[in-house]
Amino acid sequence: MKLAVLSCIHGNLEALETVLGDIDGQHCDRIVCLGDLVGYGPYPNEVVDRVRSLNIPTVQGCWDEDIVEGLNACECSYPSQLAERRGLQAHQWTNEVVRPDVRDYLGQLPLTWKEGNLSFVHGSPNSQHEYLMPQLDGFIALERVLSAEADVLFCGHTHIPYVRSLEDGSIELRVSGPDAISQPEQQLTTSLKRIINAGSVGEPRHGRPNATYVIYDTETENADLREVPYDYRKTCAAIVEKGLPKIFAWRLSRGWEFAERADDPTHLCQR
Amino acid sequence: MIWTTTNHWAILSGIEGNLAAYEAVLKDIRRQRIPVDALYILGDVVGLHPDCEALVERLRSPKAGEPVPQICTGWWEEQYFNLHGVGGDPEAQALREAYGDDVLEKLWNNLSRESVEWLRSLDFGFLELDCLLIHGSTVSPSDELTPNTPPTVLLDRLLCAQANQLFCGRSGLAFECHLASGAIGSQVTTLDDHTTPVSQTLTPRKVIGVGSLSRHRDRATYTLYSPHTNRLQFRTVTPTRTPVARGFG
Amino acid sequence: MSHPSTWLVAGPSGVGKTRWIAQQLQQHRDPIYVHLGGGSFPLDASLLVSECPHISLLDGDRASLDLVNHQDAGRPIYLEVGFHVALNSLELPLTAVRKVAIVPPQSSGSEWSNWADETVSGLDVPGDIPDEIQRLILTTEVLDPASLHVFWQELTLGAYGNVQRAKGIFNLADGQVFSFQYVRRGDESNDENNPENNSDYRPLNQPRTLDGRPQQFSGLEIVGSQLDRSAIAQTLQDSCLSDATLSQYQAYLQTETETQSPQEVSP
Repeated sequence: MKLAVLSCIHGNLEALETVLGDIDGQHCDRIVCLGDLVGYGPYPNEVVDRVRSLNIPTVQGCWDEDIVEGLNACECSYPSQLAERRGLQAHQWTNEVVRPDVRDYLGQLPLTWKEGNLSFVHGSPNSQHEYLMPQLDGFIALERVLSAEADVLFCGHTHIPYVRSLEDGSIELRVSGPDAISQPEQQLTTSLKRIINAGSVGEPRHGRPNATYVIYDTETENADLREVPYDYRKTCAAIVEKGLPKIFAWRLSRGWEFAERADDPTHLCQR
Repeated sequence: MIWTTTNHWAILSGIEGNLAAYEAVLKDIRRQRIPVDALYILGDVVGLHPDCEALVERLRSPKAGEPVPQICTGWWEEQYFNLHGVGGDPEAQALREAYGDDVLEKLWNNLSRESVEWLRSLDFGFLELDCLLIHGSTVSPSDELTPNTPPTVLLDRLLCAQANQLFCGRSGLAFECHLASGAIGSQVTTLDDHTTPVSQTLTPRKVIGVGSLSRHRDRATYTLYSPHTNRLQFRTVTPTRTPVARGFG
Repeated sequence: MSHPSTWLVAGPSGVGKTRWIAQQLQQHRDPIYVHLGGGSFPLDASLLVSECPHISLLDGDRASLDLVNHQDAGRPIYLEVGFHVALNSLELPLTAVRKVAIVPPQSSGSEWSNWADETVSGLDVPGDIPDEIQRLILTTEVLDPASLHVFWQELTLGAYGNVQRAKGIFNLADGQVFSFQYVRRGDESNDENNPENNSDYRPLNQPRTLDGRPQQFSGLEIVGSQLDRSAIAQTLQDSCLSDATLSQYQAYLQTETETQSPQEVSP
């Protein structure tokens, strides 16, 4: 089965439509979405309508949560005061235009989705706000996959797609002390585990304006990182037209995301 | 000449208001051949015990010659904060689930507002040398690490705190989990890059449960640690039972 | 015997006039610097003072009489002419003025080189006169460094219009003062995704402000065309620290320098 995994659409309808077309062309059987349907971009309601009309299983992203619960982001989401102010502007704008039924839909989204040995989350199994960067310590990365009780963990949130294979994990543990109830010596070994980051459909950050997503083949276990050009100028024009800050359009056209974001791989949000 | 580092630590947790147990441990600490020059208390200094107020008083005024205790907050402190409307769970749901609704009044009468304020001034944990000293973990005070916790989780808590040793008290158990060795291979593919696989090995690290002073009625367990020799020792003492005044009827 | 004299220095934007003067000033004991066309925006002067604390500054618009006296007293005088000042409009009451043009390499026959007594090769910048100079006074404002970094990247890559030259003096949250300078080169060394190549950042030799708002001049000058003034001002405003944040930060910096251990763990 060919499975398309999308993440971080952020109200960019033009990018979503182009990616859906590409998914058709690639003959995918199913689609799963890792959240952040809204925020920053000009078409939050339309993006939600489209995802709902296709019955795409979707987990809740941090922006989806914030639109329902009110701004609740950890300060680590915003590496600068400027990014925080811009995030706030985007939040306020989105909060005003989102329809009540869209808000309800975002509110009931689950935090995780499971299909066999595949697990789907927005940020990490710990939190929608935690970034799993590709440089993250290998043992911590392994812990995240294991805690999701999966062989393959799909995530988004960083906006840059990657596939990370974790092989031949082993830890030797010796337990002692008065309350050492378990076996004194244990050896943990793990088979191949993978983290697959689906990138971002609507707010790419890899330095080019193209939309990114991933196609996973459950038979061959092959992950194909897709980069799809779309007419970003249309989205940029809509950003300006709808009264969102012009700088969002400029950043989108450079593939830099609307605001910059935490990229310290050692920082893990513990919210 | 000034010594800037301490050589012998006593680390304890879970007094839960049991003043007699605390006195017994202090007595045992005084008896140590190598003098203890740092005393860490990893949370749960208060609890359900009726002596909480006296215990807080005792902590705040150490006797001459005693090391000044360095105290961080634990699960029970959080419950008192919740009760006084300054905690993260104002409904005190976790507390009521564990102990029933009646417990609220008991706690309310157990500790003065002023003592609660003092508890709020305590730290969340301590980073000392390569050690993290904390009630649960950096995740939260209720994060309970035990000898049965998966090794990847233990390692995660150590790596996230950037510590080689993590001393914790949430489980009340006295144990040492030595992550002696480990390895993992990793390979990252991006849109533009196919990196060569890297192999990572684990530098040995430890998670230490420091025991509890009130988990067992008849014995209190705590931990001694020498940072320079890395020597770890679990101590068990038997508190003398304080006669509790009982009325009739 | 030395021959103190007067130099009039002109050239296109970003070619390195102030830099050349700074080098010359090192050889004099009590030089005078005047910026003609700088208005009430002492950015170049502030940069020079931090490098050459021994210079005296004179206000270009009201300096005439003083200048004559100083020249008579034999003090060396450097007059920097803003690129936007028409050379034939210069009327100076001074005698024995040496005209120096700083021009891009391989440029000949320009207005500047025809005017000058001496031509010095500067940076390879476009020779055309840009449309706009925008100046923003930021004195007493303190910037969040991460935000400033983003702003500078956006500015120099053209997010707010066509920028040929940008220079600023900024107060940072840690109490330091930094100069940021960007020049768009005329040559092929432009790497448009890496404006850092054409930017120069350096701390100014000034005492750190750890208590309250800094009082010395700070500001930003941008030379280019189609500059979006309101968006620039908005971004900078979003990057400036509030009183509350600043005092919080300064209190932290003060305790940080006082105590080191044991380290507290924050949740």
